[in-house]
Amino acid sequence: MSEDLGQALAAFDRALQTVRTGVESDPGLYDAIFRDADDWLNLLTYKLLPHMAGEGCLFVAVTGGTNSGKSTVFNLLLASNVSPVLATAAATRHPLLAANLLRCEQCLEGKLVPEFRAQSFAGPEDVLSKNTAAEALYVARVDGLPDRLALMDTPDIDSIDKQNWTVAENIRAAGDVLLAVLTGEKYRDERVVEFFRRAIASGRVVVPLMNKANPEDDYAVARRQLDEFCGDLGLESPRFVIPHDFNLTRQFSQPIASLDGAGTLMEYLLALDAPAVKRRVYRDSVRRFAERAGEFVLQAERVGSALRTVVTEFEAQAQRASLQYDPAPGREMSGLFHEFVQSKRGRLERWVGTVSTAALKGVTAIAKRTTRALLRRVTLQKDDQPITDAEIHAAHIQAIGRITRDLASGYIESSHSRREPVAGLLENRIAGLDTERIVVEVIQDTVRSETISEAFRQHANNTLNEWWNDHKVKRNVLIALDGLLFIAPTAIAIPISVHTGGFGVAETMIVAGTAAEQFLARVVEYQFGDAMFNFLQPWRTEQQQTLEQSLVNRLANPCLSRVREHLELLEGETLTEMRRCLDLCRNA
Amino acid sequence: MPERVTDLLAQLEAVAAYDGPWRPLRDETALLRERICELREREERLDDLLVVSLVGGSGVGKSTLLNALAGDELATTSEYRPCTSVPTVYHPPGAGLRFEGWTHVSGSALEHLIIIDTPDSDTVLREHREEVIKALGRSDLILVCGSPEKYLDEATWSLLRPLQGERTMACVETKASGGAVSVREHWMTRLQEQGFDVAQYFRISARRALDRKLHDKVPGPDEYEFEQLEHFLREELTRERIHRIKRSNALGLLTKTLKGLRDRVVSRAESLDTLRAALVESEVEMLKDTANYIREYLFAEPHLWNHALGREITLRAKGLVGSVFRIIEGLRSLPIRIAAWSPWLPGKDGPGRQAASLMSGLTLVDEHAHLVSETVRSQYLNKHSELALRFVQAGFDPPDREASAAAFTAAVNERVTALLLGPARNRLVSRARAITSWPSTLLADAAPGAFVVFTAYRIVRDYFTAQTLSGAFFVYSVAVLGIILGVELTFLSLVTRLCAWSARKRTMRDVSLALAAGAAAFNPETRELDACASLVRSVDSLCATNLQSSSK
Ligand SMILES: Nc1nc2c(ncn2[C@@H]2O[C@H](COP(=O)(O)OP(=O)(O)OP(=O)(O)O)[C@@H](O)[C@H]2O)c(=O)[nH]1
Ligand SMILES: Nc1nc2c(ncn2[C@@H]2O[C@H](COP(=O)(O)OP(=O)(O)OP(=O)(O)O)[C@@H](O)[C@H]2O)c(=O)[nH]1
Ligand SMILES: [Mg+2]
Ligand SMILES: [Mg+2]
Repeated sequence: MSEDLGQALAAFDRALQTVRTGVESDPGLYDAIFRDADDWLNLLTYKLLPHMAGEGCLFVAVTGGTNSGKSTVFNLLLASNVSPVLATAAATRHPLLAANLLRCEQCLEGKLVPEFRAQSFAGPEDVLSKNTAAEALYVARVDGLPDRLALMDTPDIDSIDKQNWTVAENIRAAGDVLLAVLTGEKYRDERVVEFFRRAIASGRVVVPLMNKANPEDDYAVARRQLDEFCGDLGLESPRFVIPHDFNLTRQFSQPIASLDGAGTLMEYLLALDAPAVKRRVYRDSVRRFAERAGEFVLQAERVGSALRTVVTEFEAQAQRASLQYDPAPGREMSGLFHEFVQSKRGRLERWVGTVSTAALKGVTAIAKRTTRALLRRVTLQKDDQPITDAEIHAAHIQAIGRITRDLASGYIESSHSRREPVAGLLENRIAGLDTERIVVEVIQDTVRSETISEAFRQHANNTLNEWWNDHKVKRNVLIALDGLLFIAPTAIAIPISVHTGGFGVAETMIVAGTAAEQFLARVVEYQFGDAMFNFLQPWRTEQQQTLEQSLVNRLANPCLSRVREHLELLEGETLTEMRRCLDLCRNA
Repeated sequence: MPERVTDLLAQLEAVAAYDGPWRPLRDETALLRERICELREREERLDDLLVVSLVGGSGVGKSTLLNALAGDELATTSEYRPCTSVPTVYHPPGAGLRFEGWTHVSGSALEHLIIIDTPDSDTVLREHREEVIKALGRSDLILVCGSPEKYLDEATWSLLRPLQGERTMACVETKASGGAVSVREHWMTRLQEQGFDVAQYFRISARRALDRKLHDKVPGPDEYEFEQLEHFLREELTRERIHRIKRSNALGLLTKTLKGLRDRVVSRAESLDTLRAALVESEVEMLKDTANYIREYLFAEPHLWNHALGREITLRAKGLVGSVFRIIEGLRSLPIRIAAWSPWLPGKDGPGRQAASLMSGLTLVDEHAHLVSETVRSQYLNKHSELALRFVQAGFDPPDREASAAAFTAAVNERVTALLLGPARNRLVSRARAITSWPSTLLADAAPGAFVVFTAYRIVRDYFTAQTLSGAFFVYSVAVLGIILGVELTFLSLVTRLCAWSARKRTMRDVSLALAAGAAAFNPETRELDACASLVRSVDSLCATNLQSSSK
């Protein structure tokens, strides 16, 4: 076969191994991706990759249901008692290969069937033993065989010992010709028919043989049974029989006859054009492989997109949760804008302003206390204590805690409603989460300082600065307004002081100053309300984004860690590489 | 035993009726209901005929076996596979049982049995398998048929595995020929390995037996153990034995059901216990927080209590000092009254004010006072979110937070309102009564009264002795009276404050007690948790008693 094809297959195999090792640790996912993959995986490992060194050596595998007489047929073909024949079912557990000296040596050197561990066959115990590795293959030397033929006895394909099925399926992939050993009981068993259907689909030559047949009426029954079998599979091939009264010990070397007058089975096998058959088998194997592996890649992509959906959904959930966080910046934020305007005053103005503010503070404190006491009397209401930093802090912590816990509950809930393989990937991740630690971490991420109002103030100042620089007209209006109101009391105070010699200046300043402050505050609130809201918004958005980020990092990602790991694999280069290799295979 | 089973089924039914939020239990109920149904049906069919089904791969000779047992060609047999596609039901005349769509043949001499020949379990015609599964479901005794070639096939075994323990099984090795008995040993070993319990094994050649019966020959050794099989079916399956088989099947199913419950439900009981502990802890914390809130916010203002007690006293005060107290109290509460009339004053219906007005019997607020504010609600929601997460982690559906919060605030509100309207108010009234009772009124009025009488006496005496009283005397008298009244009023006011203080203290204690006594903070959650914990406990005890007794 062409060089390109070999390279493409090798590259495909490398990519496949990456995927396989990646998902192996999660049985659910492995199952979702590799479901029904055995068929083409076997073709790849046992047929396409090994590049069968023994060009021209036909591998004829004797296959069929348990106790159908595979070992018997094998022995008959060899005309000697090599493979053990037992009355009990599922006796043969390991494949047994019979070939001449040359081929035997090639086998043992690992040249002929490199994917099996070839050992030389010492006695019946070898193939009957339960404790040998699955990839073991026993090689028996039978001298009468030509170079171009190697026979294999195989385990069954239908007993309760499923490891036997696996071995038989590997052999099916490795072999070129499959001898279907049927009986009157088993020729239409689902597992048997299915086994050979797959063999035909990948270009194997299937030769049906009815064992334990009734020779009456020139095998009338067996003929019809074989017809039915061939009909099920759409198979056209010479058919062979062995009568049920066949006595193995006595008629050892009796040839296996054909029903169609095509000579004996051995003659038929020897007459096969080995290179042509091998070429066809290889070509069909590649075709079948490319077809099925293509489906596999699609399946892997589907699984990948299912995983991607989960990630998107989890992130969306985190985002929705973070929007519930409506951070309150804390106390007395309304004065902020005004303070800002004041901070833009000139030096002299600021100096005078400081003095009048100090005076103002005294007055407002007294006024506030009086009104509070009055209100308390009148409405029997406890004073509204200004919220302390600690309280704001606590409120934020509680809100974030609640959001995080709710999100965790939401994740657990949504993981219940998911199907495999996603459910399996999420389940133990989520169950093992230390939510209380995560809550603490999220709080630390989001509430970065003890004094939230201070943090907000700094943030808002930046926003205001931007606004200030962007809005020239409004800025000038504000400065003018501020200047006017700041100068007005002084303007009133000076004539008074001239008139009274200083008496009443302070009082006027206090009264006028307070009024002016209040007036400015109202103007600012009404005229620049939008701006006030706007300078809250960036801080709020930033806080929410921080929270979202933290929720994703601390909560969603640990839940999704496995999903993400696999996504990287399923969305990355590997699948693209596989697709490319398959295209090469199809073209080759 | 029958009562015990009925009893047991009733208990299981209670478990199966669970429709609460705990997923592990809810997931079990569908299967459990199905099983209970089946067990009840089995219970009813205890006296019916024994249903025996012949099950095995295609071509092992099930139909031939049926024919051999009947001594007639009832079921078609063939060399080509598969042959039977509709089950044949062979029953004694007059048997009431009918199976929809299956072939019924009457005339069996085996009076206690119904024998069903089923289709194959392993060929390409998968629909045959559906029929086999149906037949297996209905049968009490399964005769697993296998030829030397087809006794270890996964296709048949996979149908039998789910019925392990629920059905009595016997093996029939068909197509016996020659002397080899290795199949018997191998088959039995493998069955045992996989946990099947098979009591009987028959190695037969049904075709020979059929031949013999059709040609009226005598039984020979070439039929192998066919005689024994027939004997077993005819003689050994007495009414009593049939009962035993059916009961052991039912018991097997029950054991399986209980084991399933134990593995999937009882094993998680521990998580319910820890959840319960967490719930109690949160509840205690929540109640403490609420009581704190009430203490610090609702009852924080002693002047409200002074005001309420003052009002009670004003209503009852008599005598000289009392009247003066009334006037002063009236003046003092003027701002509150004004506030009550004026709709625009702020803070009119804060919780504190509502509490005060409830106590003092003023109808300042409508009937539904909201004494529990947003603070308590948000505290509650926080606690609840912690708890909800633990519930979800333990496998519950997320509990309804808003409903719980509403229920809790309503309960607290109701309790506090009742307390304020009842004990608190009574406490104030009884104190007011004591203060304004006749003895204390007389006592209070004694000093000013005596002084007035004394002054009057001085005036009268001086009038008769024709002395003129100096202006200073009147000034002096009024001053003294003023001082006496002042002292008494101060004293009275002090007493009022003291009484108000003590009433407030005691009411506060009452609140803590009332909250601790009944206002469970997480009522719906507790209810659900208790409901499923009690079910789990009952399942646990069911398992403990029954699984032990059945394993003996
Ligand atoms: N009468 C008769 N018996 C046969 C014939 N072929 C095989 N047997 C018997 O069938 C049984 C099983 O034969 P094996 O050759 O071991 O069958 P197998 O397919 O290798 O079985 P496993 O390796 O156990 O899956 C033995 O008892 C054989 O003697 C036949 O043509 N006629
Ligand atoms: N040698 C021998 N052949 C038998 C024996 N019992 C049945 N057979 C043959 O086995 C074949 C199949 O028998 P059936 O009774 O049709 O088998 P079945 O199990 O009913 O098969 P399905 O209906 O396809 O499931 C027939 O040709 C029978 O003659 C037996 O004891 N010895
Ligand atoms: Mg064998
Ligand atoms: Mg049949």
